[in-house]
Amino acid sequence: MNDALSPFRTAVAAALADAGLRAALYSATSNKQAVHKTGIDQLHDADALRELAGSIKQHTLDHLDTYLSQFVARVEDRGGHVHFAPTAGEACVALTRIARQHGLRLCVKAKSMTTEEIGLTAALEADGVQVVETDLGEFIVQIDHDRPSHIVTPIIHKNRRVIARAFERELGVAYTEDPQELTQHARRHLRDIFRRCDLGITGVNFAVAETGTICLCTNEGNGRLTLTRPRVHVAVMGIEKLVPRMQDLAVFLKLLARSGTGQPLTCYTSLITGPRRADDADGPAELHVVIVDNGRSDILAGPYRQILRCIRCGACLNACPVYSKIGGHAYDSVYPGPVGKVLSPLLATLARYPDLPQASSLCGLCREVCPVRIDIPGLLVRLRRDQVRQRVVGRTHRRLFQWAGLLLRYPALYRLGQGLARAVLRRRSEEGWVRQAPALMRRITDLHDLRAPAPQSFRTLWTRSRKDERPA
Amino acid sequence: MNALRESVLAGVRVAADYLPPSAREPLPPVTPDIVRQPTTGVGLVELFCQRAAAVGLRPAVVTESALPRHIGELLRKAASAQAAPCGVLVEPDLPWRELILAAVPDSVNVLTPPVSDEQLFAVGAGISGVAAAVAETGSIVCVSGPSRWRSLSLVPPVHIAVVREEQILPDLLDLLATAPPENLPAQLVVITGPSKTADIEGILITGVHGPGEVHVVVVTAEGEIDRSPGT
Repeated sequence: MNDALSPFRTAVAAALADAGLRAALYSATSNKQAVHKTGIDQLHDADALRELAGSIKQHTLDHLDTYLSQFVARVEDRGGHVHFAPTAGEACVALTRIARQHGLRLCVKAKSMTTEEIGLTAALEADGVQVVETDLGEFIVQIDHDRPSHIVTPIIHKNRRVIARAFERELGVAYTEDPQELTQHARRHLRDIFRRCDLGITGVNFAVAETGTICLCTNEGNGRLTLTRPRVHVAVMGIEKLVPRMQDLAVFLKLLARSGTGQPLTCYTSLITGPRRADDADGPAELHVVIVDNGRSDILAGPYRQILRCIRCGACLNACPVYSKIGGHAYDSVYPGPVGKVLSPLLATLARYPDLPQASSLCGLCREVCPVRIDIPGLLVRLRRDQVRQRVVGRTHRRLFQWAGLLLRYPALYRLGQGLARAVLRRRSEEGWVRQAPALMRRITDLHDLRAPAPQSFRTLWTRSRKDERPA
Repeated sequence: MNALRESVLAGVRVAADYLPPSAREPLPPVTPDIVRQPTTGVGLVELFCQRAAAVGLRPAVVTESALPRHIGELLRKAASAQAAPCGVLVEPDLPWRELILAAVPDSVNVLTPPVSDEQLFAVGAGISGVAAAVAETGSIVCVSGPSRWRSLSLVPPVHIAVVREEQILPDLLDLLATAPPENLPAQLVVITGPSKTADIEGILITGVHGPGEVHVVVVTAEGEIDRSPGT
């Protein structure tokens, strides 16, 4: 037996052994499941609304070339600049070029998964631009040299003591564990930055094709400051963020915050249509939109297309029995949780993330909570099939399934195998429990005892009962 | 630059063609029956106030004649809560501006944009009108424009928004389906609550980067009763 653990399994073992992490995850995810339910229950016909959201997104993806061209034309009509990036590297080049051309030195950043994905902060800093994360969670991640572990609430894995130590060390403030005081320290620190900044970088939640509008959903106000204070605002978006019409936003906005945090809407829903007008009182003089492909069109051109519907609400992370035990870091990707299990291998390679499609019981909770009705379990099963075709899974694994296939194909063989296993396990059992099973089954009994098999199989009992019922 | 544009657009074109046109999803209508949330039993003003209070805004309903006194009171409280002398930033085309200015307490210094960054970051409150309000979600809507300062409802710790009763729309769909595509402001922001976070251990904190206190004053015609919650 191969006992060397893969990086994912090592990370999972470490996460499971960390009682503090598990307590934090348990309390955060169970709380979020509750508010998700409250939020969705407020809708008078949530299922119909989710169905509608799913089909609008699917339609947009199926005609993405049309909507993308329309969006680009509208942004440019309004005086915005559009940049295209086939890869993460080219997206970073576009950003550093904008910073260089305008002599921008101090960048404030609102939370954005796409900028995480393309590694933007490191690229800008290498070019001499100071980048400050302004979302409270991301700010704490940045000063503590950590990584986010959730796509909506990035420091779900951190407790206040860790945060208090980071603030004391990095900001030079008196040690305090009070969340209110910690927040005020961050506010004071960042206010000064917001006064001086010249470049603001945000993500995009939705991009409206018919008007060239970008929509941003935030809670803290840092997002609004980021797209109000600096001279230049750059919005970074994946090609899949589009919706056709302004009225479609009503559908998605009613679902996004309810699914993520249980709010009817996030505190600030900003719709940006072009840069500041000539007679506007304030706002950035320039608006740039960087449109990133980075593997998305490859996903679009195949059977996994529907994963691009995802609006990054985080509901599937909170609902997932795997995520809620192991947290986000174990996935070793910007996109953790159920959606990440599909997206991460597709954006990279199947071989880069061999364990992720397997790390699921296919319980289907992710599909149940998804506001755009993505069939995540179905996609995971398809990925497993592709893993076998591409020989990503190990030899033992493949052989096991070959055996299982044989057993299932020939009923006589199945009965024989079942009889053998029953005999062996019953011989090993004490007081109705098997504490150590032989061979590969030991992997199960390493984790928990197995109940001893019944003396007779269900099939035997069933056949007999049918016989008894039959009139003589 | 144009090569990158062509490369991305051509890639998306080819990818979209993975499905034949007949297999692609048609564009569904945004059916109001599904999207609009029914609001039965209560009036728009009352529903708006309930929902606004639920998201942490502080709604009040006043008549035109009671408006100055009400805002004067809010400013007095804001001023006494602050260590430094309090300034208030007042939008140039605020509805009932003269009435309101006359009621500003002596302890509060009135500023009209444009102001320096120094002043902007020091003032204690901002008073603005709104472009609309949404009853379903309890939101107010602010837009950018020649005399509309984006910073005014964002930088000061207290924001006071004056809403005319007839500005309240029933549903978010009413706001978005009727927004004129050719005449959109550079920025339209739907405000649904004070600035808030629950990043640290899920504990709710208000006033992170934006205003921690948002007062929404709904002005109704004379003779209507005061329906503000909590009074």
